[in-house]
Parts: sequence; C-alpha cells; structure tokens
Amino acid sequence: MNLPLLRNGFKPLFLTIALGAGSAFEFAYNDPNIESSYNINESDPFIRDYFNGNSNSIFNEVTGIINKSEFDKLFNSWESETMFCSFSNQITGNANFKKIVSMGKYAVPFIQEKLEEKPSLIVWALNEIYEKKISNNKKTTIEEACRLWIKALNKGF
Amino acid sequence: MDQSIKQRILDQFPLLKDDLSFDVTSPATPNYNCISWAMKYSDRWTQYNSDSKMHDGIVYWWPDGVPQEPTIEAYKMAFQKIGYEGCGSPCHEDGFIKIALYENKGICSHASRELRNGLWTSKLGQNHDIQHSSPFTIEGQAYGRAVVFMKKKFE
Repeated sequence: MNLPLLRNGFKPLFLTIALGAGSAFEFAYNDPNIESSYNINESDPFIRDYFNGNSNSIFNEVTGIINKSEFDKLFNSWESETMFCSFSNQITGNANFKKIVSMGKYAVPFIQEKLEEKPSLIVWALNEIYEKKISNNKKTTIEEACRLWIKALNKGF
Repeated sequence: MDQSIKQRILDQFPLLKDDLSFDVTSPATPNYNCISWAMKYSDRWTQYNSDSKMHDGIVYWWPDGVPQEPTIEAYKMAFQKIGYEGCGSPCHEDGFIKIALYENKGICSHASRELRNGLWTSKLGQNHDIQHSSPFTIEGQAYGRAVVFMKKKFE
C-alpha cells in the first residue's frame, strides 16, 4: 500500500503504527499454518478422534501422542487396584500396568515424574520397558532402585 | 498419621473397624512385602519366582524342593523349611512366634505374624505395616481367609 507522503517526505506516524501492528498480527496469525511441518492426517482415525476429543486410546505408535491425564488415570487405577497385593505378578499383571508398559519409552517421563514424587513399584514398568534391571546387586532395595533409575534417566539413559 | 490412610485401609478391611488394637505402625514403603515381613525382613520383596522377568528389589527366595507356585501348600512348605511347624490355632503360646497364611481364590494371598505382646502385624502390599488384634480381623475381600497357622520357637 502506498501511503500519502507529507510534504517533508514522512508517512503519518499513526498510520505507520496502525499498519505495522496489523501486519504483525496478520503474520502472527498465519505463522503456525505456514510454518508448521506437522500435518494432521485426518484419515487416521486415532488422530481424528484425538483432535475431536473422542479418543479412548492414549498412545499411538505412529504419532506417539500420550495424554498425561490419561496416563495419570491408568496409574491411579493401577495403584488403587494393587495397593494391597503381595506378589509381583499380581502387580505387573494388572491391566493398567500392562497398558503403561505397552506405551514403551513414551511413558518414561511420566513414570519418572511419579518416582520423583515417591518411590513406587511402578519402577517395575521401567524394568519391562528397558528389559533390564538398574542394579544386579541383590541388596538393592526398591527405594534405592527408584533413586538409581531417576539418576540414570536424568543422565539420558 | 494421615486419617485418610487409615480410612483407605478400613474401607478394604472392614473388620478392622471393631479392632481396638488396629493401628498403622510404619510409613508406606515398597521395599518389602508381607512374606518378607512375616519372616522379619524389611529390605527385600520375597516370593516364589513367578515369571522369567526380573524386577528390581525382588529376591526370588524359595527353598529347594518347594513347588514354584502360589498355593497355600507351597507356602506352608516354604515356612516349614525355615523352622515353622503347623499348629491348630493362632492363640498365643509363650515362647513361640506364630504366623498365619491366607487363602483367596485358590492362592496364598497374604501372611501375618504374631508379635511378642500377642498382637499381630501385617505388611499391606507396597504400603504400610499395621497392627491388629488377631489374624482374623484382616479377613475379607482382599486377602480371603486365614487358613493355616504355624509356630516357631523365639530365637
């Protein structure tokens, strides 16, 4: 747009500010659509449901999308259903625990967060996800194992 | 003690409501389970080797010659191997320590141990230790019934 020049050759100040702000707004508004490299594939039913808020699934192998609140829901159900169980197979065989393990490494940051709150047998999900123990020392307690896992994960295990 | 913890335990073990000796006696810890606690260990999770997966902090302690299964008979044999013998009742006997094994849906679900003062103690899963007046007051949906009583001389 060509602005009328005043006699001294400058555009009116208020017009410059208003048009500048308008352009910046237009740029900011358009930017995510222009620049985003993430294409929503609406033919994928998981993605369609996820963005429409209808998703019951919390994990998709293609997108890796995990909903934190859904993870918490699984964790809380697992905890309350197994809180008085005496044997590891009852605790790791719980359906909610299996769902958490099936998320693989996508679940690790959420598990780490739980372990940082307090030591928990959810640490066994890390054993299953990474298919290894953090310590082969028979004297390592579960609380110590939780601390060792947090340390290892913080170092980029 | 946080009253909500007591309430959660009472919800699961309603017979404890009338147990005047019921109390929560330790902070929650995942370090040991009820079998360890019945054996007086507090630094390990003790059980038969339930699967090939190895989890941190578990000692798959199981005596030789005892079937690797969660049946009440297998647990009875395991406690026999460490010096316990069967007895007919949980009633206090001077000079002896007693344990109770619980059965629920065909498997051994829990173990509790008598204290020197005649009260009983249980470790509840990955949670707290509790004190109760008899092995029967934690019977119910979670652990089923106390079906085997065993005793051993105090060491």
